[in-house]
Amino acid sequence: MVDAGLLARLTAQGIITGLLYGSIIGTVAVGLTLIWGVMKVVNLSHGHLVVLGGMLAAFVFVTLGINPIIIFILFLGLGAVIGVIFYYSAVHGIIGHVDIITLKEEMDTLMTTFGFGITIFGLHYVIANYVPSYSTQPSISWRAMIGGTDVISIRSLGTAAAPFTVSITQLVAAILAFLLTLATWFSINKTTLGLTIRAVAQDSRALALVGVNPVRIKLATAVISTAVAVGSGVLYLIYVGSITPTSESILAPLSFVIVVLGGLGSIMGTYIGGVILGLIYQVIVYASQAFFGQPQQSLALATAFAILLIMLLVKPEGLFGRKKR
Amino acid sequence: MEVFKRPSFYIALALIIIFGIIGGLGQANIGSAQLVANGMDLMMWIGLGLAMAVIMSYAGYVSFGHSVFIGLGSFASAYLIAYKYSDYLIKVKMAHGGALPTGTTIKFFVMALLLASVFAVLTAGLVGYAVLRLRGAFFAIATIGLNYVVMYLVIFYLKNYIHSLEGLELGNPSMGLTNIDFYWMHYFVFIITILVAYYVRVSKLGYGLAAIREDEDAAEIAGVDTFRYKLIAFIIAGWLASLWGVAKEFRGSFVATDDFNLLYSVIMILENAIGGIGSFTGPIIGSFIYYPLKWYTQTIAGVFALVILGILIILVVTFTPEGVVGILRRKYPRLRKYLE
Repeated sequence: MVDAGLLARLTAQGIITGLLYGSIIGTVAVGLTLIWGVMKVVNLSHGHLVVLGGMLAAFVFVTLGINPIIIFILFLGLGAVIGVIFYYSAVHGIIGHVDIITLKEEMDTLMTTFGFGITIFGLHYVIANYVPSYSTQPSISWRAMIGGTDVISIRSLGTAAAPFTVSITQLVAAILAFLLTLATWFSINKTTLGLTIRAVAQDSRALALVGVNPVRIKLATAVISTAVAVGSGVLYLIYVGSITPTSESILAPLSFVIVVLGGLGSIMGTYIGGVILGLIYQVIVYASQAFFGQPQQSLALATAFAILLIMLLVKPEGLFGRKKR
Repeated sequence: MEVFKRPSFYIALALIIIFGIIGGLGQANIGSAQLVANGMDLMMWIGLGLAMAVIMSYAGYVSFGHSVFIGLGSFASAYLIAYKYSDYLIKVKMAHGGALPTGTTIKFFVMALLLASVFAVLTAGLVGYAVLRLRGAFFAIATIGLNYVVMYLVIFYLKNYIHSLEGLELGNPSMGLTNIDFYWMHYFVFIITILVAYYVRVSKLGYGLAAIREDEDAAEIAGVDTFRYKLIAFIIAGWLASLWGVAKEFRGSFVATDDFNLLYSVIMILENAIGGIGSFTGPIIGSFIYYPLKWYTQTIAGVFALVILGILIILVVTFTPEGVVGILRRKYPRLRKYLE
């Protein structure tokens, strides 16, 4: 039979880990909710852009040993450059001069962004000529950044033999992720640029009539989205501690689940959706140990995608999205 | 049958005859091993392209997670030959001097096809009933979700109840079959796919689907039972893809959850996009362009193949939205009756 005490302890640890993990994957999904919600571009290269950020950051960290927080800030700029390349190669040719995006354009960008994604994926292997993967643990840790111990144990919550643990590195990454989401939310919801970005989603022609170049606004959206994606890739690297190009195969589909869960185009909604999904995922991973003796990631992921299917059918506008007529 | 007397049926017939001849050459030891292997690959890509065409090209619904059906077919046959009857197959093989007798092979191949069909039809029917109410990108995302739900459940099952390698692979027993045997298995599925895909295109169902693709609301008003038509198309598309999963699994000698890779769906979509949407010949021409190109780049360029494929997708979708068949139909109206 299942040990109830063990189950309760594992579930509590799952909740703590899930909050931190949810913050990371919620931010990973923020880039997608921007480009999908505002430009109606279902960016299938999103996961590859996130992993590209992580891979490059790991490379810079391993070779040069720069503090990962500085890398994170620098990579927001690098992400903007990659965003320009992304926009002009995969998006501009299809929707650059189109006012109202119909099903055909949607399907076309679905394919071009996928093409862009596998180009990035292939380039990892071209450049490295072996299966590229980096492990930065334990060299990226609180100790490397500031000094001191990396893991704090909360003895009062667990037993003396198995205290709850929180990694400070992961805590820092989760807080940075929240700040990145907050900054994105601010730039979209509180600035003039953000206002025009939201306007281009509603009526691109009317925006041109009042003297704003819609192409420039679309470019700006793609750039912000890519910069957030690349930045969140760096945070994912700091959080997980290792990365390979195939990390995409889990990040990209999870981002879609989160965006649909949180609400298309809603930045804070997406972030909260990410935290909810992170909680569900980690609680199942931890709690399944009580039933099967080992963590069952596959069961947690199957649940996550079942949530996606159910949300699409029951509430396609998401938990926090605005209902479309 | 009147539909099999149309000029466009000659193309289907010609393909069946050509691949039959290649198989015959291989059987008589005249055709090279390379010819047989490439012929098999090409048949598979044409077949998968046609399976996708039934839902994507005919009905306009892009099933982005269609690889779920390849994976299901692959899982169904692995369940039979690599798990359930694995010991029995090895015993029969030993009793017949190291190679499975033809009768047993055919029996198990047909059993696997039937089980895969049951899996695929049930999944497509149940899930299609729910998700076919969504349109456009939301339908595509829902099928991606379906793909991952099924994939992780299969991994969970293999890992905990069959104890295979982390749930990722399940190896077939060595059955002593040659490439020619696999060729005829592919050929059998190929004939089914060609005939079904052709029949769907020229039947009443096909015209209903074309109406849905052009304007679903107008089709509904004109009296097409759009939901039933879409559901039938989705079930047929899933069923055909699952048959290819079986053929692939027999040849590949193990089931890998890699068969759920979305890249398969994308290649199927790409073949339709290159060839042209809305036609039976589109995915066939698309495969004849895509497969040699892929084979060539993989042979000479190795790791560059994915990069080339990615750039190719972007260029094709951006600059030739109507596809090869669309261009041919516009430039040479006389070819129209063949390029249905």
